Amino acid sequence: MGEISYPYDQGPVYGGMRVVCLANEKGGVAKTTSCVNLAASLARRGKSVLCMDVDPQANATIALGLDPDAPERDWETYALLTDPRLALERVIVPTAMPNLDAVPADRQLSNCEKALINEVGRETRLRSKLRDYAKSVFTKKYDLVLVDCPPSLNLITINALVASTDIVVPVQPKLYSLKGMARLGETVATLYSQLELRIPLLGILVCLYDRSASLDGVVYELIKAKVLREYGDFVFHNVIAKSVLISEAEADGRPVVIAVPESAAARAYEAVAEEMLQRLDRSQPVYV
Amino acid sequence: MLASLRAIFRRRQVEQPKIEPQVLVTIECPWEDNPIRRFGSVEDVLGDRTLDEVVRMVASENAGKEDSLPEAYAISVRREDSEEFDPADRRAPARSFLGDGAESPGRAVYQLRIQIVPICDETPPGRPHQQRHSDLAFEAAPTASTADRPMSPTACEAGPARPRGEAAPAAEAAAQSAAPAPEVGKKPRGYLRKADVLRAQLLPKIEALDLRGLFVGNFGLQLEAPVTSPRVSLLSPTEANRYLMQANQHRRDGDHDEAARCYRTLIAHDPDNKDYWFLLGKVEETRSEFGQAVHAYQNALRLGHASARAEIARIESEHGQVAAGPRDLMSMWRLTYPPAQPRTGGK
Repeated sequence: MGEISYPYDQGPVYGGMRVVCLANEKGGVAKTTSCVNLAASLARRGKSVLCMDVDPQANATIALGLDPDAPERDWETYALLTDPRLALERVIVPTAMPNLDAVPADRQLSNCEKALINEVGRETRLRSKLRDYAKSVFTKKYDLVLVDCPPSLNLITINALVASTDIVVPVQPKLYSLKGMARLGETVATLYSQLELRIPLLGILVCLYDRSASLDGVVYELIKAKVLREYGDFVFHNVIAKSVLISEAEADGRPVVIAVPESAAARAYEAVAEEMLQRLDRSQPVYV
Repeated sequence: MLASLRAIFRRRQVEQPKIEPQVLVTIECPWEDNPIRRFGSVEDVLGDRTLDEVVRMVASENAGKEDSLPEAYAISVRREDSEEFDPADRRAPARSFLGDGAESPGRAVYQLRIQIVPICDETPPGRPHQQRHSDLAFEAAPTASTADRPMSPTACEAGPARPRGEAAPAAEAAAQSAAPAPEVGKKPRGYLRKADVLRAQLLPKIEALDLRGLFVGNFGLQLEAPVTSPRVSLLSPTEANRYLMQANQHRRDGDHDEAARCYRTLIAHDPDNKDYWFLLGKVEETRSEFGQAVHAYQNALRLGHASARAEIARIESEHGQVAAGPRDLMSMWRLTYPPAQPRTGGK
């Protein structure tokens, strides 16, 4: 495939930092769970990771043991997107896990779209903040930033996509989830055509895989064959099986890779994290 | 083109006087005459044209045992083996299809395992209920002689294509007889797996998903064009015209079976031609194969034929709601890659 030339200073230039966005229009496909567990797995491997929660439901924030309703956190993430003067480092908070920091979501994020709708450069707010953060000599640099997107294709998701260097699409092996992935593809193509943004797909991660259900095996087999045949090896070889331990760990405010590291679900996320690093090594960032 | 294709059925030695459901098929495609090749042609040709032929040839191979052919059955096709096929490399099939280059003629040998699964109403052991799935069921076609068929059941597996009607050498016949005996006591499954039914249902829907936008960041604007190369007719215009004239002549002479075969040949090479589909629908309707006629008309309608909708409506008004024929089943089974093996991290 041919390379594309871009005008100067277009695209997310973050030095060596990779920003991976986990997005799918369909809800309930384990975006948040995957984001949190992958962040924890990568942090356990010694990578410096920032987990950004831009979903107004703030589930990733809760899963990382943070309180989205804490009074000191009111309006901060909302202001990050709406206030051009608020720096990213102001809203980063450490978590209980080493190497893992977070940008917690707050409830006001749901009003963010209304506030952004008349702003100039509304699609690039998050990218600007990440650029400024990467350029600053006083900020801690991360190897990876994982962005947990809301289950819709609104301005927040578009901000996350625009700021990303790679996309991971978690899908449940069900037809509606695949349709959500196709809709996300339309948005990515629109960003390409309208903003000349090139956001490569890192991979499609199959989550909530039920080994006892024939449907899941068939859908996985078919979508993997289709993607492999038409585009290449873009489906993660490791899948995340459905497990009650994941939900129990989330209820405890910890990722399953921390809560029950010996479980099959934790091992699966560890394997996906390893595969993700390999894929990141293979695919050089477009703009960096 | 049809004459250049050869399917070899290696019949396994069976003791019981019944149809052996596992048939190893090798399809040999010498493409020396035609430089235009495309990925998936073998499957396309097999899928669009020879569904009934496969069944009839199996019955012919089991001469005298036609009665044991089940009343209803489904067929699944799976690529069993290919020496140069590497599932990790998506371009590998095209390379193997093209051969080594100009020095050697492009030739691909695929081994497909065709499994004929009888559909029975009895409850299989260990399953609470067996549901007969009409979309996958075929009514048994009347067995016909395959002497005039281009695919010889006694042809050599990897040898060059022989002219129609030529007998196989004695050495090949000896090799056939030396084929390993099937596993004793392994009975054919008498019911469809749920996964097979789901696969047949989901494959068209998943194949219809347009995921090009997701990969624009990876591959750029080249994905604006169709990802798969457009279908190109492997027949030259002269050949196509000759086939069409033959088909029309057969239709006028009342030889509708042969006319349908010619139309299917044309469709196999140019599946996006709405007129071929429409004419095939006409012939199938004359043969009282209303399901297949509706299916052909539906394809013509999908491709933009103006009269197809009226024909479908007319058939349905005269004969009630007719399910589309089973011809598209093979295309639904057109899986290029082996089933993926997910790793879930568990034991």
